Amino acid sequence: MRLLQALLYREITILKKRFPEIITLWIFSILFGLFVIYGPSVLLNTSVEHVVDRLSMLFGKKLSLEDALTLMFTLSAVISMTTMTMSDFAQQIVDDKFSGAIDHVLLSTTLVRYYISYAIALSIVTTPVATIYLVPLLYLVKGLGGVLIYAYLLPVFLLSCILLSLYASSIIVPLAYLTKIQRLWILPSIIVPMLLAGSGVFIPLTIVPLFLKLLAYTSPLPETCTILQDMLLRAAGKLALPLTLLTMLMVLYVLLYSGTAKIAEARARTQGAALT
Amino acid sequence: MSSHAIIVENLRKKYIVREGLRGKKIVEALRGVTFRVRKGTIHALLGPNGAGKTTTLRIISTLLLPDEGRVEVLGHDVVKETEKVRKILGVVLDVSRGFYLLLSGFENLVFYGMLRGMSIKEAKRRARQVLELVGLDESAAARPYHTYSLGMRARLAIAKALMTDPEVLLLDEPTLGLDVESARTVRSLLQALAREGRTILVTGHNMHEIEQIAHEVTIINNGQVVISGSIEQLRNYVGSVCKLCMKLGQANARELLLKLRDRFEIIREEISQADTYISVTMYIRANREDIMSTIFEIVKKTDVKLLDLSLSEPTLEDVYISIVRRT
Repeated sequence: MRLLQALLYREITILKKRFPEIITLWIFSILFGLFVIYGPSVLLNTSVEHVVDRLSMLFGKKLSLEDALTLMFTLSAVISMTTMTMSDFAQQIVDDKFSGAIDHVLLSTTLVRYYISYAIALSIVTTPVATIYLVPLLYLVKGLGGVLIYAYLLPVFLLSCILLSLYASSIIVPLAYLTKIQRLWILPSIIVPMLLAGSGVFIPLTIVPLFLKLLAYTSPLPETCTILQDMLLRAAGKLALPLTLLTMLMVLYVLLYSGTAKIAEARARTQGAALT
Repeated sequence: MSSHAIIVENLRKKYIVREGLRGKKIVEALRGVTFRVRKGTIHALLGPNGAGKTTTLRIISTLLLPDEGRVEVLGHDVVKETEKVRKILGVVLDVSRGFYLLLSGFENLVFYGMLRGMSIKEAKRRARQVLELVGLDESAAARPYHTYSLGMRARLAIAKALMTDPEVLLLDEPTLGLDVESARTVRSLLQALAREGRTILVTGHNMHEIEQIAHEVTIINNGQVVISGSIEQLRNYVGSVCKLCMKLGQANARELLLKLRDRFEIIREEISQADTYISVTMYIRANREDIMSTIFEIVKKTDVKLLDLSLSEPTLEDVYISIVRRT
């Protein structure tokens, strides 16, 4: 518990200093949501209603402009949350190794416990920060009901973010501590667009190419998008299957992480962890 | 109850160094290192680069596991009782690294304090105390770490090591790269900490500095301890060696040097020539009286102009070089 508190303290302190970056992330996410609907209308000189009709066809439900905006803004929050989680995780590991801070961390705890606690701390901090801009946006679109929608979606975002952090940890920790790869920040910039493209953020999952879909299914994102779409567009009764899949993924990530991180820990204790 | 704070016995450690995709090389960093550090003293671990000092320190700090051998810190085995050892140890591994760049010095200390099990309130209180102890004022402590000078980083690293009020401190080259004033501050700090009864094991390359602060010294080379003891014991180990510094007039100087070389065992000599004189430094294995009488005898006979003369005991640096060259 003390470890988690320490990590929360560090994450919140760092976050306060990175506020301009976060605002930039919000602006891009908002522009994405707006552009999906208003972009084609401006570029192709068609009406907004026509664009909304096309979206209705894609998502299989008659949407109003408010529904379409709510859906697109919500999906944009998935983009900002995924980007922040994956890149922050990679950056943290790079910082730990290059600054030599990992040595001091390992004087207090184990590598396995440190990064799993970091995954949880990162999710707790990142989820509200990466999605909070939805509150004023959804309020503008749907009034007070929009704020309620955010409160309703927040647990899904949190669950998804925890899973994403675990996913990141099971990939990045072994790469960082068992291989010679040093420029780990490249990894999120390759993986994140592929995961997002394959998860139905930009287009519904049913029409995503198979390769991207298979890749994306290693992450929690496709199920998160399905749950969010179901919650926003349909009744929430269809959530059982995606939630079961997410739980299975969580178990898988924890097992994968624990196994690889224990090997990394053994390597760190015999050969050293920080870059010297 | 042992009078030793740290006991290192027959420590062995190998590293696997990977070369390319498949190749690997095994490097033997420690080959049976043994030494003891007395309680409440400053003990210096000296040796050339790659001698095994940092590896030894990392094993004592519980960061690395030894392949063989035993290390005890205040009676606790570093492998079997890791948690107990960590509670009594403060570690400075690299004065210029080990902190998060975006966080301030104060925030870094609070984070590390919490990591060691303190509550946020306790960590903040202790961080203020240790910052004051190392002489970092509030405005400095509030600055982001990446703006710190090397001297400030060194002080912060020592502050971090003191967060848990440890009985034993391990410091790896704490004055490396520091300017004269910062190095002096760090030295004074270490002496003050030793006076409080803490045991300090320190590595370094500045012999003048080590000579000032260390009570005992262990010299390590090629992963093996060459000698361990007080600076006096080290001098005796080298034997009766004197450092002779002379300034001689140009005429007949060569003759004097040849006669000295004939008469005594010269361990090392440095000769530089100026416009009007020759400057000579010699490390001679002989007693002071013999050297002095011989010099005056030769000067009388050869009519060499002796412009300046000093004969002194060798410094720790002289002793160190002599020992390391022998091995």
